Amino acid sequence: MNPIVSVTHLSFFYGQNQVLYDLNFDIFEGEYIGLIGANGSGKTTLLYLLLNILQPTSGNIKLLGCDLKKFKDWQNIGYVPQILADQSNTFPITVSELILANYNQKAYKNQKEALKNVLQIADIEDLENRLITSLSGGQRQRVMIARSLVNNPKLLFLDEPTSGVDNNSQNNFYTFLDTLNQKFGITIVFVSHDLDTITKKASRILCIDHFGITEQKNHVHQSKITHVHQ
Amino acid sequence: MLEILQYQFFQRALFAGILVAILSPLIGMYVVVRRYSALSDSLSHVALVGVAIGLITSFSPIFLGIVFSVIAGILIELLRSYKKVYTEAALMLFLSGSIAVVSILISVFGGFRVSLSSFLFGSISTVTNNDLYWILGIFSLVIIIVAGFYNSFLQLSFSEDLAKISGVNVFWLRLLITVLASMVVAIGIQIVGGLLVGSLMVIPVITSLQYKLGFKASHMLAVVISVFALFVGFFAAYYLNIPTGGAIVITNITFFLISLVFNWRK
Repeated sequence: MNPIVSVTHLSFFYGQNQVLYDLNFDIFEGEYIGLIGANGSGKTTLLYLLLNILQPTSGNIKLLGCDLKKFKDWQNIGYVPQILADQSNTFPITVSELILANYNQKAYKNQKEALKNVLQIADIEDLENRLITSLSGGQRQRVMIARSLVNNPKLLFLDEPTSGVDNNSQNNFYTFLDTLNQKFGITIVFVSHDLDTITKKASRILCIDHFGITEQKNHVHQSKITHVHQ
Repeated sequence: MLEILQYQFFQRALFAGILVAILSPLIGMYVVVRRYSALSDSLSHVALVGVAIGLITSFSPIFLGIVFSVIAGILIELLRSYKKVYTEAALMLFLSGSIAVVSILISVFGGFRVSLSSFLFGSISTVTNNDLYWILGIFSLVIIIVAGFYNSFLQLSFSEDLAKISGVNVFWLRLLITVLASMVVAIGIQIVGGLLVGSLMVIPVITSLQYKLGFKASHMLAVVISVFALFVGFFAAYYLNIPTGGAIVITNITFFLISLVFNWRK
């Protein structure tokens, strides 16, 4: 099976400061990856490199089998950031406007159908015409997921999306991600510092530090671990 | 009552004013929500350098205003993107630099001082047929581009990182918005003047934002407010014998204050 994400000898320096050193790992279709590490270990930097927001100092990244430098198929990649506090509190935009701004007709020919579908999946049909500024943290994150799903992506990256969200909403959110992974087959890469929760949910854990990346088999979901890269 | 409408110069100016009043908040929305409002002021001052050179050389002031403003817009965006200087500092650099150049030009070529003052504060009687063609051309261009890139501009305004991950070419679209803003500012100079044109981009937008609507609704409301303020300002200027630019801007500020009070609890 070809990996959906392939990282080889990836290093990244901010000026003289080494942030990531010689990372090598693969992610396969249908996996639920927990990417963990201490504060400042480079989790978000790695995510930004995978999303082509930052450029690696050295090494190679492939997404869906294509070199990242030549990768154009971004509608197949979804990204849910940490809560965008600034935009979410002030930006004049409704839920449907935010979702449809990301719409690409390659995935769904009908825009209304695409909107209806993701609102249903994210269970936020009643929020369609609400302003983002009027929503709770948990609701906003569901909207951001719906936004990232509107093009029917194969791979979903999430960067600590539950920080600042209350416990009850967090639990609902994790259940929702399980559904996306198991029912819809979306590959998930979840960046988190919440070790307890992510080890319960992810099929494989990648632990990152300045010396590289180590992989831990997840005993809760051991049956799913079939592609641990050495 | 509307005998002023019989005059061709007024018809020309009103038509040009309506086009500028539509375009200003249309582009201004993307500038304001990105916390970049000071851009319009810097661009309008740079456009005045082009206007001054146009007056000195007897070459179309509006054309040179557009050229100077667009070049400045591109340079500001490049400075910002490559992080050589902070955004505010880059804007200040162009704003003060252009005032310095205009002051030197006035000192050396004093003869065009009166004509320049009509570009500083606006003078509807200076709108020629040639200017109107420029304004119409830019109006069409901006409308086509905004319609074509509506979703990309919206994504860019909401979050540049999210836009980039969605495949939006952030650098070029940011540059495109700045270039469009430069052109709109330059054509608005004749209506309200270089010192006030920036407010046409900003005040109708912040007025509409008080109503807490979605993006498209806020966008459209800003255009309606801007055009209405233009009409009120134009006729108030004529009947009260006050400068048109000042009357339009004061009307816009009045609408903003009314909206602020009306929506205080929202």
